[in-house]
Amino acid sequence: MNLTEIQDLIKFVAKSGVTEVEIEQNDFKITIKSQSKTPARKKGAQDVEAHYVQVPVQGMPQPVQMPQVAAAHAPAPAAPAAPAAEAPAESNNYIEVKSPMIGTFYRRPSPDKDNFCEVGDTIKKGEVICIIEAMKLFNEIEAEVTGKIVKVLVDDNSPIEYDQPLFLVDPS
Amino acid sequence: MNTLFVGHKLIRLESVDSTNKYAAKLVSLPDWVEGTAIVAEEQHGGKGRHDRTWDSEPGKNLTVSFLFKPHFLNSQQTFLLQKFSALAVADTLKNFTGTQPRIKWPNDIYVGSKKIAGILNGTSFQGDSFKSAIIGIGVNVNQTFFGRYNATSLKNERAQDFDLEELFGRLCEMLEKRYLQLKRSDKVIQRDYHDQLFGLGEVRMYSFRGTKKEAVLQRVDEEGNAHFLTSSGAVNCAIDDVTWIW
Repeated sequence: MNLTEIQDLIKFVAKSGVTEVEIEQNDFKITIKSQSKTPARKKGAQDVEAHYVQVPVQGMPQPVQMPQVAAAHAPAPAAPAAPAAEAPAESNNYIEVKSPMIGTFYRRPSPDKDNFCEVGDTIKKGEVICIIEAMKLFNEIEAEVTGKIVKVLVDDNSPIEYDQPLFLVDPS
Repeated sequence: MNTLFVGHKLIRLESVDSTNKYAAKLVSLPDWVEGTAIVAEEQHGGKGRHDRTWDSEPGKNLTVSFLFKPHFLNSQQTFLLQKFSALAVADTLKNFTGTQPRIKWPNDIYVGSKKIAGILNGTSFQGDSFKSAIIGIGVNVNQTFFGRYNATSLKNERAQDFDLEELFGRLCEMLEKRYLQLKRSDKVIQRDYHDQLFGLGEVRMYSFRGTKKEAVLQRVDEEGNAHFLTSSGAVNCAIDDVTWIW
């Protein structure tokens, strides 16, 4: 699920009057709770929206800022209602690895090789996590942070835009 | 050779799978030196795009990879690496071998309608910044038989043997010249690349995603897209959108 889909989902949930939606795919789980019912969960629900929206708006060049942004907000949900806020608090800390260029996204060094990384793998800063081919130029993209791959947001061998999120990484 | 840094550090390999792969290992370690050249006598796993292979007879051709740190470029300017390296190879052939090379978009070097040199470049990025660029160059020099490939060599074109050492030196000089030129500004690189494009302004046959059509190559833009004019209008092509028909 990409960020636009998540945003759309949040809007949909907000409009529909549903109180809680939980979607679980293979390696990804998102819970969205509306504000109307339980005041205790209100904060968590707002945080989901606030954080998912914030990260893409940050813009590309300062990935170092992302963990700081997340960190600044992280303590808030933890304090008031710990159990309810648990899921969103985790997601808040994820860092997006974005594409530095237009091109084609490859998860493997060559067609007969394994993927550079899989969901659940721990990657180290400086480790190659994908290749982007731009006009016959092969660009190896290295991880800027050490962390665990939470989700791969783009299919192998598909076209990508500048600044498009490629991976979600849990730096903790 | 007469250079400031290109080729000063030289790694000579009798045999290697691919000089680009060897180069990639080097740049993954700390303390590599910009301008380092890796030359192989024999390259047994030399590859093109998508692992396309070619046959190179040992000791007859120039197969070399160079390491650069183009910190002055950003991640949106990667096509300039293709341009500067293609120009450097074309310069070398034009100035020192008496051939008339053209750059076939994006970065093959042709003499007449046959390929004489190929370039395969790679980079590594952390975020938006270049960590390294590997410029891999293969020039067909003294090999004369290419089987089913639409290829030629300096020897085939000029009916004489060429000294690989000498040619390597000239290539280092031309690469350095174009690299320093690029560092100052991309203006001359953009202009010269345009002027040396194969098929520029000529009506010839192309296949656009499988549809054969006459077209005229008008320009290659800064992102590297080729712009053609056809009878049915303008066509803007990325790399896999068009193939040359010979």
